[in-house]
Formats: sequence, C-alpha cells, structure tokens
Amino acid sequence: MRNLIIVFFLLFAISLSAEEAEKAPSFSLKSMENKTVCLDSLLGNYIIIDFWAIYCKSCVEGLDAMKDIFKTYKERGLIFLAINEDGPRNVSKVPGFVKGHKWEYTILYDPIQEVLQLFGIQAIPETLVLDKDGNIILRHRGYKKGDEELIEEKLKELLPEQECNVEKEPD
Amino acid sequence: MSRKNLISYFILTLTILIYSSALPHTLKIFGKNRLSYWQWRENEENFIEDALDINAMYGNFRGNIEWYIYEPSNVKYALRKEGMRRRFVEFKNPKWSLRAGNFYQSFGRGLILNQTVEITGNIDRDIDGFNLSHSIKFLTISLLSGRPKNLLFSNGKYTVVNDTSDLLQGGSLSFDLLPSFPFSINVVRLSSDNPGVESPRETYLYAFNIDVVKGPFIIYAEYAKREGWDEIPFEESEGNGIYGSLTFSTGKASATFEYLNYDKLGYGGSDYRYNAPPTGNLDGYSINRARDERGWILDIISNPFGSWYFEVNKSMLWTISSDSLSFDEFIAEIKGDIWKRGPSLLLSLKNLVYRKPETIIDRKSEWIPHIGIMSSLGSHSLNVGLNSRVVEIDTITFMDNAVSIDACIFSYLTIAGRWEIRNKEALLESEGMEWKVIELRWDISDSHTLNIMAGSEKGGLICSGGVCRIEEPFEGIKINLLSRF
Repeated sequence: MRNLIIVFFLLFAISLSAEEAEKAPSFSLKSMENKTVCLDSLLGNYIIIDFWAIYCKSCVEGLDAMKDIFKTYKERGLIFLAINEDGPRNVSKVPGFVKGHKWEYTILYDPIQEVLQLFGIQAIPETLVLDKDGNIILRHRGYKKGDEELIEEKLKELLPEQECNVEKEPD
Repeated sequence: MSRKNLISYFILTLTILIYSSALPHTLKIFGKNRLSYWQWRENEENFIEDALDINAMYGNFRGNIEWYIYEPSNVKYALRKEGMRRRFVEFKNPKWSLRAGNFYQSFGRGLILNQTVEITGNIDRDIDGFNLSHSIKFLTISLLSGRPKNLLFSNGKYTVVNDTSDLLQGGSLSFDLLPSFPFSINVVRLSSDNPGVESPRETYLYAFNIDVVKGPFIIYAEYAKREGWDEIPFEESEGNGIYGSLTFSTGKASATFEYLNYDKLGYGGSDYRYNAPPTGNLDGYSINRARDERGWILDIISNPFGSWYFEVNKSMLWTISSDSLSFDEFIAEIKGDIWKRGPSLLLSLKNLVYRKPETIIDRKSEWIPHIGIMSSLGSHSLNVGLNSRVVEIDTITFMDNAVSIDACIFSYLTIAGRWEIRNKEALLESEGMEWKVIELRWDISDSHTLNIMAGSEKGGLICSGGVCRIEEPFEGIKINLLSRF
C-alpha cells in the first residue's frame, strides 16, 4: 500500500507539471465515405472531436442532442469529427445508424482504438473542442441531458454570429 | 513491489517529470493511469490494481510502456502481479508506419483476424511482434508477425486464456483506386509447435472483401477460406465463411441487412479464437463462434420528425449442421423529447429466445421492457428508469424488476442508484433475490475522475464479440481513479 501511495504521489506530480494548453495529437483515419481524413489538414478551423460507439447509449444521446447545434455552427466553419469506436464486427451497422439518426458529422472509423489510446481516453463518450491551432480548449466526459448546452456556450464564444453587412444598392 | 522495481519505477517517473517540465516542445510525454480497488463484503477479499500507461512522442517516433501492479489479497489470483505489461516503439508518417512491440490488428470485418481489445467484455487480444504498413498512391500494404495473447478480466481476476507460442503472420493489400469501390485481399498464417516433429502445424486463411458506396446503397461483402491444421477436431480440415451487409437509406429512414454463414472458419483453441467475425445480433451473442453458424439481422432506424427516433431490430442465429441450437432477438425502441427542450422519453422492448443455451436447458426466453425519463434541470439533470425482465426457462418463470435514478449535480458530480428485486428463487440464474447499488462519479478536474460504487450487482451472462461468460454476483465496494497527464 505504501508503494502505491508513492506511485500516486509521483503520478499527481506529473499531472500537475502538464502544460496548460494541450495540443491534440495528429492522426489520420478512414471516413464512412472511404476517404482518409487527417487532423492536421483541418487545422485553421474550430474542431469538435467526439468519441462514440453504437453500444454506448449516452454517446448516441449526446450526438442526437448536438445535431441541431452543429447545423447552426457548421455554417460558421465548425468541423465535427465523430470517431466511432465499435470494433470491426459492428462497423457495418454504423452507416445505417448514422443515416437513420440524420447525423451530418464526419464519421471516422477507429476499429483498433488507436486514436482513442492516443488521446488517453479511458471511457466514452468524451467530447473535445479544439481551437484553430489544434489545442484542446474543452474536454467533456460523459453525457447527461443538457450537457450539449455547455458545448454550445463554448461555441457561441468561439464562433459568434456574424452580422450581415449588406450594402444598399443605389437608388 | 520489490525494491529493485520500485527504484526503477521511481527513476522512470522522475525522468518523465524532469523531461516534461524542462524540455521545450520537441518531446511530448503523455499518458494515463487507472487505479482500482475492489473489496468483497462476504469473504473480505480485495485487490488493488494500477495500470500506468506512458507515451513519449518525438516527431514521427513514439514509445509506450504500460506498467502494471495487481495485488489481490488472495494470492491464488496473483497473475502478472507487477511489471511491464505492454510496450512498443513506433515510427509513423503519412506513407509509412512501423511498430515493434505490442499492437492490435484486424483484417476486414474480422473473418480471418481480429486481435483487438474488447472494452465491453474486458478482453485484451494484443499481439507481440511487428506491424508494418506502407501506402503508395491507391495501394496500402500491411504486414504483421507476432505471438498473440488473450487476456481476460472477469470476476475481479485476470486469466490468460491463450498463453501460446503460436506464431501469427499476415498480410493485407488494400486497393483504393476509386473511393467508392475499395477492396482488399488478406492472408494469415498461424504456425504452432508440433511436439516431436520439426515442422510446425500450419493454418492458412485467405479473405477478399469489397466495399461499395453507390447512391443510397452501402454494400460490404467478405469471403474467407481456412485450410490446414484445425485445433478443435485436432486434424487437417477446410472451412469457409461469407459475410455481407447492405444499407439502404432515404431521407426518413435507413435499413441495414446483414447475412453471415461460417462453416469451420473459427480457428484457435476451444477457449479462444484468433478471428472474431460479426455475430449477427446486437448482444454480441454467439452459438458456435464462427465454427458452425448461420444468421441474419435486419435493423431499421427512422427519425420521422423533431427529436423522435424509432428503431426496430430483428436477428436470428442458428447452426448449419443441425437445428438444435439457435438464438433469436427482437428489439423495438422509441425515444424523443416530450416537448421541445423538455424531458426525453425512452420506451423499449427486447425479446431474446435461446434454444439449448446449456445442456440442461431446452428453451429460455426473456422479455425486457424499459421506460426511461431524462430531464434537464438547469445545470443539473435527473434520469429515472424502470426495467423489468420476465424469464422463462423451460417450465420455470420468474421476474426481475428494477428502478434506477441518476442525479447529476452541476456537470461534474453524478450520484446514481439502482434497486432490483426478483419475485422468486431461480436456480439456473444468478443467485440472490435483491440487489441495491449506489454509485458516485466525480470529475475532479479535466485530468482526474473518481468513481465509487457500493452495494450489490447481480452478475449473469455477459457477451461481447461472441465470447459469453457468467459474471459472478458482486457485493462490496469498487473504487476507480482515472487520471490523464
């Protein structure tokens, strides 16, 4: 027990020394449309990364709840990567599930959970908001009804509604 | 923990600490830690487990180790008590990827190879060896060689289901000339020792798969063939398998149909398989784990208006060789917001029918209705669920009824409770008549989450990826601290 206490003291020391702004690791994954998507090529935009699976009910509820919010912010340049963590056996169920739920997110497959490991995710769902430089500025674990409002608050701050300056045509 | 290990652990952690604070951004150190403590009430047994996963990334290079401590009070369970459980070094750029050490790999939908981690079933099937991948324009080549493990965590203890010296080698060629029409050719060879004979026993598997996206249709088809040594009848034999899926979607609904037929395709021992193809149902239930199975699944999902969703799922699975074993599943679900931004309602009904699930049972059926209400109360939320399970095992009928409440206080603290009662003793099911559990989840910070659970859990049949096992009932305390750095 004494040894474990030492281990955890050191572990906390490491976590306290971590940098404030955490840079998202780069990755590339295949999309539902068989295209290769690289995170680095999307930098310059605000990005939401959401880790989900069909068997995870909270994940599905969270993505259903974010659907309308994404429709609003997509027009303002937001990119939403929904990384699917179902294993190879369940990948065939994903396109029908996504289309049935009318999700417009970019669906990426992570069948051997490589990206999940790379981001240090221990449980799904987990939602990350990345700034234009790829820094993780918000991490949200789990989903409960109403949590989408926390993400929406952050998006309002990052991507405010632009006022339209329509020039009047001369009479 | 021995003194030598403790010192090396201390030096390692200290080195990481110095690097992460002193060096600029050239070297990135990151990782996670999971600390678990389980205490059983009845026999006062317990265990402490800690898994520290550390990554060092420098440009295109990455190194990883997982340091592991498992200290059960019952020394009989002290499998892999401490030490380095996983490690790898990796080079990765957009064209090349080379990893030496532990890795996961699957080809296609897993008909010939599926060495992955199953989170839901606590099964870890990693390979220790090397994995190389190279992409040239529309072609991707993958090669692997290694010795697989199959580590299972069940009932609070670890089991190495497959601790073997078998050598697994494989290759995959993926052609991506047209993004809507990719296909792959995959090959796997398993070499196992043949006692008293110089040449090893060899099993070969070949597979071809194709993926088509055309208009509202998404089609996937895979054919696999196995030949050579077969561990289960302990002789040379041949097998094959077909798996296909078709998805059709319109603006209002989508439907997916899957078909599977596996005849002596599963390879490995009686407790494990190196391949784990789709099982054809949402419960991950298998009747013969790709040795003798045929089945189909139809799933229809619709979002006709607003936040309302309907899902109907029907699946059937049976053996090819006889009609004595089968599994049927039916699931219907409706969910949506009762009024806009108001509480959500979830109604679901599930029916499972097993034929000959065990030698002494001819037929077992389960009806599982569920009602759930989820409400948001400003920065708090409340979920209430009512669940029933009516079970009929041959001539015996019994019922489990449960109520569950999840209260989320702000966004970082969740208190959940569940109370379940059984109307009469059922000898063929998990023991007990009443189960009560309370759970607390506290997101201490972005880096740390604490879970505390106290009470009793029913246990029962847990299926994941075709592997099913009976989890023993649990009564006691479980504490988990998840950290990330």
